[in-house]
Amino acid sequence: MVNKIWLLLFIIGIFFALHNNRIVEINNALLEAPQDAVKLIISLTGLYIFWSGILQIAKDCGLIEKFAKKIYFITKLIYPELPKDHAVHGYLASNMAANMLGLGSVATPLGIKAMEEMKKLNQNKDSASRSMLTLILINSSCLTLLPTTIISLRKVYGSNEPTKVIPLIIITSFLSTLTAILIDRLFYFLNKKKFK
Amino acid sequence: MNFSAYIIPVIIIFLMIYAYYKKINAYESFIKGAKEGLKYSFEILPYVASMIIATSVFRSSLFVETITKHLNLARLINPDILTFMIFKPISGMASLAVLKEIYQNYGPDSFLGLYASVIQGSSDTTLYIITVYFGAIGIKEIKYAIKAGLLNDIINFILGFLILWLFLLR
Repeated sequence: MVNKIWLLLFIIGIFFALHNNRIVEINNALLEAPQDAVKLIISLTGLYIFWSGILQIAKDCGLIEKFAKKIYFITKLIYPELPKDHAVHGYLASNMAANMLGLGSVATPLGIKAMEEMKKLNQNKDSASRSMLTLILINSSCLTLLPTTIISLRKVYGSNEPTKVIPLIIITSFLSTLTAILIDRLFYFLNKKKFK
Repeated sequence: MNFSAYIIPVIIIFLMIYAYYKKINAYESFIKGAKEGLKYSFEILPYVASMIIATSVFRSSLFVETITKHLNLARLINPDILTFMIFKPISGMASLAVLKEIYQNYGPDSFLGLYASVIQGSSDTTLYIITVYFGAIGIKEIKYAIKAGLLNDIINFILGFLILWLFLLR
């Protein structure tokens, strides 16, 4: 499916560029986009190095494990498939906390860590396990308590009340995380055979 | 006071004091973790690059803008917000650019500005998360990830609209 979307983006893009007479823009996009990607990754690399280092300290002091135990009653509900007392719960709990605080660049290395542990639990197969799909859905609906980026952006564009949207974002993201869990359950039960 | 500015420094000082108290070699731990962080960004680069190149070609063709304007949906839904919704799950860069245009054209405190803010704050770039997370650990068969993710994005757009509408009714 990623393959189809990827191909369609190119086919539709170049076809419509010809139609809209924007061939120069397409050439610019092809020239600049790969550089943009590298620039983005370079800016993220610093953050990943820093936060993965900080997280390793938290892990080695036993803080992540402690936090995971406190929040286990939630992770157990969301990820019924995962064994108790496994390292993965620590990463899941911290990934959730980072997302809530609006720290996206911290959440990503934690989420990848959790995915690694899930892959080990899934006998290193190259197909997605149930809990991986749950993690992806939860992360894409991103439960937020502090939408920092959006508030500063609103301020920049001259909003009288930049923080007005905070309660709305909290409620919407909370509800959409709930629907993400429901959708996850629904799709899992409809596709149960594929997990054998 | 800007409360959020305190979160990260407070977390870090707490962690450092705790590491000192627990007598662990925090420096060694940091280096070990940092190496993994470097590995992740290296692993995800091809996935990120492939998506950014495809979405920026798609974006520069003005396909979405052409469609949203020609379909005469103006009575049903504003073409700018529709463009924003289409880009939101596909490309973080493109949706941020459209969000800024909406702020500029209608103002961040208008209904459209508020609605775009709610959507931006309450959902993430689904396609990016799927490619990065699965790419980093080498998963090839992703099952229903995209279908489920996009369905939840649509539900999120509806929820955001209803909640904003209820909020403004008060």
